[in-house]
Amino acid sequence: MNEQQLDRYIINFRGTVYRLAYSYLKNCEDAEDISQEAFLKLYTSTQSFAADENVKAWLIRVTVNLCKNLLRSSAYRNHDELTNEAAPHSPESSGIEEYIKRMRPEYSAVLYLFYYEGYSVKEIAKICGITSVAVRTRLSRGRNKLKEMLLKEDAL
Amino acid sequence: MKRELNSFYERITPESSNREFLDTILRKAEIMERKTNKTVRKPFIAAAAVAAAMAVGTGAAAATGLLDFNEIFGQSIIAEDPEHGSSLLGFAEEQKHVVSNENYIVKLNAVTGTHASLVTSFEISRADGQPINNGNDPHIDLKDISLNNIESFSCGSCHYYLNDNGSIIINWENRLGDDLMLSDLNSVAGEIKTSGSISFADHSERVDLDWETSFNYIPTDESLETLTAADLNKKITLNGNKIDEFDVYPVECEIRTIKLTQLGGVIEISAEADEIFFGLNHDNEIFLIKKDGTKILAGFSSGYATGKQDTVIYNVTYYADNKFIDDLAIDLSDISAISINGTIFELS
Repeated sequence: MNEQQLDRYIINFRGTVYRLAYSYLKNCEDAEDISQEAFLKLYTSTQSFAADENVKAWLIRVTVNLCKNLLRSSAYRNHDELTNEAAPHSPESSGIEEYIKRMRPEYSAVLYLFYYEGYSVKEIAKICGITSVAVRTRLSRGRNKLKEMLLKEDAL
Repeated sequence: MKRELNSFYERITPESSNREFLDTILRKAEIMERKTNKTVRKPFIAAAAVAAAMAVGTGAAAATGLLDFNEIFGQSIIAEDPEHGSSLLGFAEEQKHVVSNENYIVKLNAVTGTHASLVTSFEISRADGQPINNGNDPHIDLKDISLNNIESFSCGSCHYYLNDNGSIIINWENRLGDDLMLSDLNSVAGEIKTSGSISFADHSERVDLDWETSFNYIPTDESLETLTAADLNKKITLNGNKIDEFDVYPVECEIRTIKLTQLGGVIEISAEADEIFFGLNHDNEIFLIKKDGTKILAGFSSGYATGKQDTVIYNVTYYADNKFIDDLAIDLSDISAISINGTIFELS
């Protein structure tokens, strides 16, 4: 892959990769690090791609794996506990943002892939390495919680 | 709700510009390249990586692609090489697992990797089959891990965690370009040892555990027989999956090369640009045909991009009684042809 191709893929897919990583990790710095790692893997990969959609699917899969690996690492968990304690509540945050930040990473990632990226349940199952039933469960629980929260906001 | 969600996601945007981001990637790639070049390159780097992997563990591993711990190991040590098919590299015998506390078991689950890194996965579980319960004391402290004194913990990166089944999983990655010379491992025959020590909580008690795994690695220099297809360039239809589409669909292909060894083979396939695929479905029907007309079931396993446009190489795995057997070897002198979805290719 040459620099021009990489540049084009960054323009087309950086947002997707970043938002997905953010959905898992809930902070900008880690989302940026994971994005860099995913695109670095793409740039140094020997894989050939026939279409841009294949590149996108590949990047999504790699990003999911990188995020899961990071979340599993004890170094990250310790760091995460510290930053969570120190992070002040952001007054300009919207309700939905606050809720999604509190949501478990696997739930927010599934919501993102389904609603924003438009992937089907079956496709998300394949991307995340879980069953279709698990995807449906996470979607349903995530939706219900969000709905509940939005209704409360309206009531205020 | 969809509107609110999408509006939320729209606001999540990276802070740096695409230009800065591109520069960062290029800079990191350059640093990586410099480090990789420090390693003595070997022509059989993919196979060598697997051989090295096997020197640590027992069994076969894919040498390219994403790192997935889905390889289950047996006694044989097999390299999957896209050019030469699966090759028998050696055997692992007299496996021993010694643990300082008999209430626990340490298993070497898998070794896999790429030409640039090697990942070893250990699993620590209770001998009574019950899950480890670290309750209110989730701290796990991996104190040391080493391989025949070649590698120390400080040289690689290690992720460890308690999984849903109550086992501690340790994934240990060594970047070969930086620290580990493949030739160091590849030349090792005889007893291979890995060891480590860890501290964790189980049912409110702290446990300090030392372990050592070892086995005899017996490399083989036996050169394998190879069969090649005599009549190629026939058009055939294979059942494929695109990575971003999950339905099976027919792919019009041409077979470029077929090579079979006793332990597996490779098939190079080309297709039109818009038909390139990343998965061949399991329902593609492959048989090795014996001289007496009887058939041995085979199937496509992992695939590799060749670097040539519109071509991919797939490994072929043999089956016995419809089951995959990782050390199955066939007698090639008895094979006359291979059938792929009903099209026959004579072998020479």
